[in-house]
Amino acid sequence: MNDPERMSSPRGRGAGRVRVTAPSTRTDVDLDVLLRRMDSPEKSAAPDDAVALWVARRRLALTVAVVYAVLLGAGVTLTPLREAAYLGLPVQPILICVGALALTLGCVRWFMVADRRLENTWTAGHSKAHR
Amino acid sequence: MSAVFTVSMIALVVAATVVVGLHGVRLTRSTSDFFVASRSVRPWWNASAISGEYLAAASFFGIAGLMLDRSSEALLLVTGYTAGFLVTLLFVAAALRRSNAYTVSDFAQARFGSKGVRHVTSTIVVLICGLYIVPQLHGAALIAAAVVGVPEWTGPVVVAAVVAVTVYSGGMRSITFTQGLQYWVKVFCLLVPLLLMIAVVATRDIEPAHAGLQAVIEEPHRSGYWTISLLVSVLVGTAGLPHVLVRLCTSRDSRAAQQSVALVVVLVGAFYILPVAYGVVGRWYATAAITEDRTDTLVLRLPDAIVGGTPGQLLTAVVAAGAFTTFLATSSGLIITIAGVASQDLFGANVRGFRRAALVATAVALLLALVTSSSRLTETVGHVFALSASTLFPMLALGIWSRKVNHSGAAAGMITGGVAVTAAALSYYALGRPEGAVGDLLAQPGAWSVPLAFTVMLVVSRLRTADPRRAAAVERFLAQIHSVDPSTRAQDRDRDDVD
Repeated sequence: MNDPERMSSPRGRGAGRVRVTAPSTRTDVDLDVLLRRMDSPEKSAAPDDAVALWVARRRLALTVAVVYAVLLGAGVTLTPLREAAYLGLPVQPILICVGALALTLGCVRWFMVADRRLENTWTAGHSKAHR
Repeated sequence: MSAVFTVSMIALVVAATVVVGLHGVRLTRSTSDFFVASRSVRPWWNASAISGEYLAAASFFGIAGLMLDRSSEALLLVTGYTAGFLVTLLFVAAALRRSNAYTVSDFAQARFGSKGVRHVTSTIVVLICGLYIVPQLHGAALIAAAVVGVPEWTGPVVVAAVVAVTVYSGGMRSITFTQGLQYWVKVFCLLVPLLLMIAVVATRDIEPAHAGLQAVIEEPHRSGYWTISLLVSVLVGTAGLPHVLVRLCTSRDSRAAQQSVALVVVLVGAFYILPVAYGVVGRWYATAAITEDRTDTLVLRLPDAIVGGTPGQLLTAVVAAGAFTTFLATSSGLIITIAGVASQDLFGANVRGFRRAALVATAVALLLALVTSSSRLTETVGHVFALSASTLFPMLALGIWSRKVNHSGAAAGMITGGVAVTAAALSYYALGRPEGAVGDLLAQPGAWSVPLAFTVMLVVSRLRTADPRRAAAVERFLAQIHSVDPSTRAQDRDRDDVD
């Protein structure tokens, strides 16, 4: 990835990249581990718990999207949009907008809360595993 | 007198934009400030800025005009424009921010490990922003001619000049300040005249010009395909709009990006009630001169038609200033997006390259606007949404959520989607806007072009054998963009400690 900050650094191109001659032994070890992982791809897959979070997030996003699509489809089918402005209730289009907004905000809230819960559960499990 | 009011109000808006923009310049120090405001924009301000740039000419003028002659389409668009941010929240926002990309092109290169995919993405970003900015400048021409009474070209020239100055001097940092302010200016400029018009109608007992216009306007009947396709384009297209996505990269972390998008749903949804209300009032009180002329001008002409006299002219000037704010906000967001992408690919990823790209982009957009004629604002923008839905969204969605897609599939899918939508739009206009099934397929390609792009991405990716080393890198990248932000973890730990 082009990193604009890095490329415009006063030290010129390449500044800020991984230094092989790192001052601490620990950094050398980390770099070594990284290089070995690159050479043995089957061992360098993402940690299982990270994949679990990713899969859970995908399931949540798809669930919210499907529920929203069904509700929106029902709303569009059942609401007389075409005659909305002159069915005797002048504010009907505004009510439709407010209803659609409420539905969308409900799904936004559902997703945000559920996603936060997923993160908290994952963080708790992750900390426990690394303790 | 009306022109004097309008020019004064527009001058006020332009001065406020420049002053606020220059305030941002004082805080702009690094290249990161220019590209992503140093990723320090708070959710509330970012949401205002996203709403400020997203609510373009089509929203300000087009929705109210559509309510006059095609209310069902207007309501579908309003719903789709708002709900598009739900799709952004569900599938793109947090992961894009966690990727640490500066632009959509950065994300494409990081995920697919290919400069080719980066160049395809950058080309599509420039195309989408270019097509989006021209209607904004046409809108400025409309204001210049219809309200101020000066030649049409003056509107686009003023907008381009102000945008060039703001973007050139302070980049994303300046634009964030101005766009955040501009959202609230737009709300004010629509809300105040609307409330006064309602008060006048209620107190003066004005006779409606039409009984809801049902005798005057015959709404075209739309097929089920047309409705579904419109919703697909708008919902999914919003999640692929590059100028919206780049703003998500300015958030502090992924949680802040999510909060920004959630707030955008509130702000955009609340805003859309205003043009719809103008349309409702217009259905009863718009004069024949408005309904028979361009309905796009309803928002501008309704205050004078209802209130009349000097107060009516003053309200028209307020609405015109709001419209001008719209052009400035959206155009600056689009120019900064083009500059961010073009500077990294062509001009060098530094402040000088960014500024050069911004100037070139503004000049080209202005030239395009001056040599093309304006058409219905919502129609032009509709094709841009279809293009975004069929190119960038499939790349982002599959790039974020599937490990099966590789660089060949991503590039092939984006090119196929882009070519399909462009061919459909050109055929639609070349055939004289045909009606019936063919017309629907060409006018609203989203329902077939989006699945086509997804299918091509998956099929072409399957045909290419994956490089095991690349597969491991993809796995790590996906784990990173779906993980929990370190900053969020630290915040949670701090909170736990306090508890």
